[in-house]
Amino acid sequence: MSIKGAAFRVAFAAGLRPWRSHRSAFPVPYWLLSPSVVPLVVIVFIPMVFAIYISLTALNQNTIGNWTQAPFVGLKHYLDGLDPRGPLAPSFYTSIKASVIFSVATTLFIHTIGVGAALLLNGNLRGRTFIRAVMLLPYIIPTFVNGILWRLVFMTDTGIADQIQAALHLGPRDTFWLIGPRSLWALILADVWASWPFIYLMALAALQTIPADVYDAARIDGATPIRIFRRITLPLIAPTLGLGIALSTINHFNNFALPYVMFGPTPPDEVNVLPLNIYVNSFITFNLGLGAAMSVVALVIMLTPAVLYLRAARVGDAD
Amino acid sequence: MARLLENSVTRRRFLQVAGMGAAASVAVPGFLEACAQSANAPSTGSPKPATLSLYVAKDTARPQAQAQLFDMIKAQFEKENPGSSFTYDTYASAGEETTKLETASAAQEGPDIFEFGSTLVPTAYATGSFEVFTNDMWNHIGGKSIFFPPQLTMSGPSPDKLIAVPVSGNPWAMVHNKAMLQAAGISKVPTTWNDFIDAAKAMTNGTDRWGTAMAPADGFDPWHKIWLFATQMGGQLMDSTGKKGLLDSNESVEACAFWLDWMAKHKIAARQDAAFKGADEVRAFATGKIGFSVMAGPGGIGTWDNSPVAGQYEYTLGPTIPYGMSSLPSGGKPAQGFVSGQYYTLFKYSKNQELALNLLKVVVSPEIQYQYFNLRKQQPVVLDTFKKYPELKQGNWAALYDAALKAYPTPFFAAWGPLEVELGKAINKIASQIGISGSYTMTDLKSALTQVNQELQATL
Amino acid sequence: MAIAASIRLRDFSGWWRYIVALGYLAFVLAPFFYMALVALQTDSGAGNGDFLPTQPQWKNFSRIWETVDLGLYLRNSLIVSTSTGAIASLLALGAAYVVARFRFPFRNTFRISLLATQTVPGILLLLPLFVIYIIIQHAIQVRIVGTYWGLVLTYMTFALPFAIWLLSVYVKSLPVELEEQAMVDGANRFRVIRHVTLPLALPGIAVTFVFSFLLAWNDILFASVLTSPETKTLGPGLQYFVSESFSIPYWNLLMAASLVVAVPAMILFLIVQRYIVAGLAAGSIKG
Repeated sequence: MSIKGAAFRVAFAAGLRPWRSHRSAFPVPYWLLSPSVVPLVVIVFIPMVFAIYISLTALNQNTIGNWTQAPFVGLKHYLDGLDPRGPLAPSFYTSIKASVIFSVATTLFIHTIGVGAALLLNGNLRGRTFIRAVMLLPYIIPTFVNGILWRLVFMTDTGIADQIQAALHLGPRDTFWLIGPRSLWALILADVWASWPFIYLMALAALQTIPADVYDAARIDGATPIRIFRRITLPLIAPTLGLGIALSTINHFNNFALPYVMFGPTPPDEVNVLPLNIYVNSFITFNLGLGAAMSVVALVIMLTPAVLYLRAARVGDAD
Repeated sequence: MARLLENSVTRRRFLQVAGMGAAASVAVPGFLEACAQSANAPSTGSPKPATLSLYVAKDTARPQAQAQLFDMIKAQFEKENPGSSFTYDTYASAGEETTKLETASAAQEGPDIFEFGSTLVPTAYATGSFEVFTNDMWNHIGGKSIFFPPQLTMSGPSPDKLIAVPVSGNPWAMVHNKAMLQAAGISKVPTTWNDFIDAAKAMTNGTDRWGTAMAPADGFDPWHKIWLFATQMGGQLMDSTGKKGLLDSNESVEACAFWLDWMAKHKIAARQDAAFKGADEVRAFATGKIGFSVMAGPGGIGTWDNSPVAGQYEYTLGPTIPYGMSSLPSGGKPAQGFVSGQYYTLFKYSKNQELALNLLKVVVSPEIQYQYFNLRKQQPVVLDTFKKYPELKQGNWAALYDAALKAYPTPFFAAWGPLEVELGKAINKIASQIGISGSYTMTDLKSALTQVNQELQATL
Repeated sequence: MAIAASIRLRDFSGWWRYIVALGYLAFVLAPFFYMALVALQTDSGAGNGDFLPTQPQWKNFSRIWETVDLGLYLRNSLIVSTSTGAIASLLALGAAYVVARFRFPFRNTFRISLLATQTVPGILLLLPLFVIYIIIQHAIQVRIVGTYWGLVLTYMTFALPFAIWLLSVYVKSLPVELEEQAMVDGANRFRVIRHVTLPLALPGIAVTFVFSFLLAWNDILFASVLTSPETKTLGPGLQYFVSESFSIPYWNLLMAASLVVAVPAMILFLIVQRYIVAGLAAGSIKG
């Protein structure tokens, strides 16, 4: 037996057994932590600091050849974008509005659909394993392929959406889905289809931990399915859903590939979401300083759902 | 200001001189080749062997042809430079190209040779990451005068500051569907925009056959047409200093209105086109739905040869007299399109610049240039190739050759990139209105253009 | 009497469930069906409004391998993605173990920052990261850009925050007594994790594996900058089909290729999916 083992045995026997951690008995194995922390610092943290620095400079095609000497302009990009009187502000605020509406709406839909599917497949159903596997399929399509697919679906007159609409006499065959106000719905549907499996997975997993007798007891007491859902199921899966809501809002807010592929660099205002605007600024018009500043603003906005979630889940507390 | 005016004067003179040079070289073919060969004398000594890396555009239409062409170039290059070779990486889109440009410029590390489309050369120049070609360097690859005159106008901001070597051309001409033209009883291809509108109306039946199509939802297509109309009217989209956008100038507004009227007033383009991108227009022509496609490049040939309109399409010069006028106004240019094509540039931080020049020499040799046409159906840019291979001026390529001669450069400013996108935004917005409601107002158009001009101005 | 009524009610709801399940299946599978239809159309016909292709172009499924080096990209993607999945999961387990079982300075900051890093848009990091890699390359004379491991390192790092978060909560739910017993028996920390924690955490690891795999599999932005022609993955590779440099985009080929390359990912899903559900169950309840 090693010395460590002996020491532990003594501590164990003496009742020095902290509830869930070894905090007082052993040194922290930082060597387990560092292979994760070092890459995170080098690959995420440092570039982010770097990017924040870029947002304070006038980095564009003229200065990129020598970026260390790009002139420092301080908060100019932020003011340009955020000052309501500036020329860049309308585009910026339109983007923020579009992004917020888009991510909230999408999150709402995927949660309804995802939880619905989870409830459905939690119970007994023939062919359940097969159906459960099929439900995950949209998740493995790369975003840009998904974008092209839905663009084809929503093309005016030639796309399936209009053809079906005309066949069912629900509307004219030349309805526009890729321009005008309907473009938001096209984008939402495309993103909902591709990303609802994530919520479905989380909800299903959460549902699986609720033992069946809870339901049986409630049913024997005469509760209707709706009441069971509202009073029992929902509260029990709320923490999981909370995490799902926070993460999915963030991911949808950040989604640039889908609107870019569906609408191009000059989309209708309703779908000119912030990441697309940032991309056009950074990589097409080469205004990297402005692009970085807008990214930082986007990041700050997205911290909101993250912070809300952390508060609600009360992470920071003991343990 | 004076210096830049001087530059534009210089460019005009340069074109004159180049034109004369072109005429001279056509008259004396052997002289040119002899010149090139004597300039070959290794004045700089042979470079040490290495493997170059290239970054070029992927040709998805003819991937095997592209691979074959590179094999030919490689064989020649390896023969002339024993011990050396090259590899190439390809990009799928302009977005990937610009990302690579950014990262390579910032890190000062990247491929030895970058391929750029003509519209991106100004941005590449602005980064300062590419070598300016000295006269020695030009002579090393054959001399400036071996090239098709208009192509060099997009190689740099002025003739003494050229960074890009033309390797292939992309002329813009009008293409029409012969059967549809005949069926509408039109015997002559229109040369004025008035005639064009009339001819297009005759071909339109309002349901599934239209005179032409538009691609206003494309981020980049709109500026092609607006530039064309404005140039023919004698206007500009950006002033010659590159510091002031002119998107809301009279000519610009009129140009936009004329184009949008195709859908709104004359109804020669379907309202569905409001959501069209460039490729959708090519498809519409390929399936025989439209009679004309204005400013079409040779890239459509690959699609059209394998489509229902194979054998039915014909390239001609497009109209040049603006709508509502009977002749070109003063300052107006009979432009067919803007100078367009692919260029190779030399990365400043390359360690093998000598060797890269040798590779460029191979690429612009007439035999290889012919293969650009033969294998990849692109227009060569070396004059000698046209002399040696007459098929380059036959059939549709005759019109494309003429059109290439009537191509005018776009202002060589990095700000042109943002201008394209801003203009696209305004057009997109108004076209959406037309698509949905059927019409637009001039007030809306003017205010949209003023707005995007302000946005553009803020970045200049 | 009441029991009989409730049984009948359950049967009825059972029938209803099948209808809804069918609806979900249709919702999920319809676009795939459309993808297959587009894959069989001609170059100019794709997306042109023909619902059923008049002449199914089965040769599209062989064209995709010749037009671009699809075999190479598929192989590269499989290598990079499985490596990302495996390495990210293992490293995350180690870090999660420490987070779950130990108190150390800035522990809470670390945990909160894991969630915060999810908000960072990838575009923001692209240019700085590339420059940093080049600087490192010059400093220690090791190639990063254009290698498999450079790409895996990048993806793995992006996957770590969520993976550590999930696994730390998961590990916390595992009984600590088993580990303590093993330590008493003389095992060092590493062996404890390997022989005790790992098998128990397998469901959670399955989740992080799939999540990291998909992150690497679907990425285009970083792959376009960090790969060489030999290491190019499917993200940039598939884009060649819709390149508009010299032709119209080939949507039919793109759909055909997407269907074909989805197969390996799907097989992976099928294998791991029963672990996933169990893994997420414990991993996310506490939030």
